[in-house]
Order: sequence, then C-alpha cells, then structure tokens
Amino acid sequence: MKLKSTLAMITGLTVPILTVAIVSCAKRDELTISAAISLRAPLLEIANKFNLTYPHSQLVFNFGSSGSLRHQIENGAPVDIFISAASDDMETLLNKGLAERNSHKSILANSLILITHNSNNTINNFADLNKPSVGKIAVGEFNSVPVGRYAKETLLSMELLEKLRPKLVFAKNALQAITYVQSKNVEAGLVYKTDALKSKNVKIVATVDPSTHRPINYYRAIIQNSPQSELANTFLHFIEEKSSLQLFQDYGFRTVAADPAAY
Amino acid sequence: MIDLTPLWLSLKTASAATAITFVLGVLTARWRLRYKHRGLDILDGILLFPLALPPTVIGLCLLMIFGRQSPIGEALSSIGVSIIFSWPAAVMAATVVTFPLMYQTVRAAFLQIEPNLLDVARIFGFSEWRIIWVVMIPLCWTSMTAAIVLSFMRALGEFGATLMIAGNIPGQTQTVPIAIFFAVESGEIGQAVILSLIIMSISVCVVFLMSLLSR
Repeated sequence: MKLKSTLAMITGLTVPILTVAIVSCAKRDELTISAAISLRAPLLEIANKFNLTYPHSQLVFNFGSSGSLRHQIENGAPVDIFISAASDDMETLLNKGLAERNSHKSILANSLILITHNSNNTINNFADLNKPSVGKIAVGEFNSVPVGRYAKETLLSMELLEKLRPKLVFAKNALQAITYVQSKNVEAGLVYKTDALKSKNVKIVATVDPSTHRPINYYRAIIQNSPQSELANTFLHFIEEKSSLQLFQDYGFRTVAADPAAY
Repeated sequence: MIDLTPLWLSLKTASAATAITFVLGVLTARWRLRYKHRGLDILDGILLFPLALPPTVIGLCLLMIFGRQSPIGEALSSIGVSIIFSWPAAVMAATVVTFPLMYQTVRAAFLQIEPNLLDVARIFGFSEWRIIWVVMIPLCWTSMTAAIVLSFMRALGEFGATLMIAGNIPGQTQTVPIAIFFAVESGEIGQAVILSLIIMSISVCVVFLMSLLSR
C-alpha cells in the first residue's frame, strides 16, 4: 500500500516536470503579436505563410481593441509586436518608452462605412438615420475603441452627433457592432469596411467621407526590450512584402506608402 | 467631472427588478405550496436553473428569445415594441438572475409556516390573496428582508446578462458595473474607482443592516 502511494506521488511529480522540461527544450522561437481585432483574418492567413517560410517560429496572436491591448502592454504583458488601429494608443506607448520609436511605422489604412442589415431598405444615406423608424445605431465606444473615436469624429463633422446620441448603442469593437446589426436589434452601424466585408448579412449603405475623421491608419512597432527583436523584424518585413500587401488589399484595406508617422 | 448617471440608473433598475422578482417569487412560492406533486420538483429545478448559469449564458438565452430574429422578437417589433437595448431589457436581465434567489428563500420560508395559522385566517374570512400579504409575509419577515436585500444586491451587480441584452447605452442602460468596465477600458480609472467605492459603501451598509435585522 505504501509502495503504491509512493509510486503515485513520484509519477505525479515527475510527469509535469518532464513535460515542462520537454516543452521548454523544443527550440521554437515564439513571437507574441498584439494586434487590432480588424486585422485578425488577414494576419492569420499571413501567419500561415510565415510559418511555412520560417518553420522554427511560432506566432502567438492576441487580438483585441487597441485600447485594451495598450493597457495590457502598459501592465507588463509579454508582447513583442503591437499593431494598433489608432495613433493615440501607439503614441502613448511610444511616449512611455514602451515601444521602439525606430520600429514605428504606418502600414495600412481602413475606411469607415455605414451598414444596415441586408433586408433593410429604409436607410440609404446618413440623413435617413434621423428617421423615427431608425431606433438604434451601433457604434464603437467613443473613449475606448478607435472605431468609436472615428465614428464620433464623423458624426461631429456631419453635425449629427447630438441628434443621434439617444439612438447610439456602444459596442466594444467593430465586430460586436456588426453582430448587433446582423441581429437586427439595431438598424444601422458605423464600422470598418474590412469588417463589414466579412459579413454576408449586412450591406454597405455609404462610405464615410475621409475628411470627416482622422486617417484610419494602422501603426506597428516592436515593444521595448522584446527578447525576439530579430524575429520581430523578420515578421514585420514579411507583412510588408508585395504578396502580403496584396492579401491585405483583398480584405478591404488600403496600403500606405512607407513613411514613418510624423511624431 | 464624475458622472453619476450610472448610479441612479443602477438603483432604478435594481429597485424595479427586485419589486418584480418579489411579487413573482411570492406568487410562485405560494402556488407551489399548494400543488405538491412530485413532478413539480422538476419545475423547481427549471426555476432555480439560472442560479447555476453564468450570466452571459442567461444573456444569450434572453437574446435568442427576445431578439429581433426570433419569432417572439419579430412579433414584438411588428407592434413597435423593441426590448433589446432598452431599459426594460436591463430590468428583465436583473429580474431573471435574481428570481432564483428570491424564489428559493421565499419558498423555504413559506414551508416553515404552520399550516394551521393559514386555516385560522381562512376561518376569519380572509381571501387567499389577503392571506399572502397580510399573514404569510409578515410571518416570515426576516426571511423576506433577507431575500429582498440579496436580490437587490445581486441586481445592482448584474453585468453579463445586462450587457448582452440591454447593451451599453449611457443614460438608458449603462448601469454601474457596465460603466466601471468601460471606464477602465478607456483609461478613466478615476471614474471607475469612484463608482466602485460608492457601490462598496452601499454593500457595506446593506450587510450591516442585514446583520442588525437578523438579531
């Protein structure tokens, strides 16, 4: 009896220790990338290609709203690359010395659009949002997510913000806003073009005039003191190769001529 | 400055939900007292079910039942009623999550009542309705207050289900837990901390009051 329990104890201790030892021995370079949620689909596809070219690397993605991701990095999350959908979040990290300024660059751009459910024929432009039949409009949360900030700027420019404010339902990110529109629990939404293209149930009613909001650019940078800065640079060059940029364009993004943001 | 609208909204929502839950809980418990079939134990299981569910699952169920894409939702929207993303939805979420708490406590309390006392009331000509409110509830007053307080505090703290079916609409459905969550997300830690402190002090007072009442 005593022998059995001793054996059980030894097994119970050695198995986890061996597992950890084996796993950490596996020579895989792990790169952690925190990226804005709108980049999820293209980045995952690019990641597959990257893994084929660099099989020793393992890409770990952390998708979320730029605000949450910035928060995590500020609180010490072990991230190697940050790709933000907003200049503010990136600038905060740069100013705090958490991101490397010389790796900071704008790579892609997006468009803001007005969407409705496919079956909705009553909304054809922004003015129609004032109609009483439009009960609720989904937008990103103004203070915490970039898609919300851009929506706020647009509504302010078009002098619709105060009129439409009672109708606004704030979503945590563009995908949630699209889900709201898909569910028909809201009549319209202001979201990124790239996200709207993914959904078969919503249609684009209008593209927002880019002059009504700050440019929707995506910025990337390597996080300070990343132990994988070499692999990070490799990855960043990879996503800016012609084939990768073409992939982004297929998803609805616009590519930005390579110039560092003016900070 | 610090925006206290979520606080008033939370108090409003929690009060409404607690009132509705109280009435529903009492009536259901009373009804259940009368019909003691074994089969109805299953009904109890269903009524108490939300207690074991994560609030987000409750929210999802409510969303699927009352959302515009369900038969009920479509029927409601055809008569101009839109529940999802409105204050009534916040009350509904809070009611659904607090009902099991209320029902559980009230039923246990009612089971303790000496049946003869109810017969005495009937002899005196009290209607069944009057018996509930004038005899039964006062008899279990301690349990009643405990149930009401528990439900109120649970309703105040309701987040998952509320966010899913009532959404984040400042001034309409943005209750304190939702406001705190989004305040932290936007980096407005001051706002988040103040709201949290207020809720904490309410909780402390309530717990203190409860221990006083149970003496």
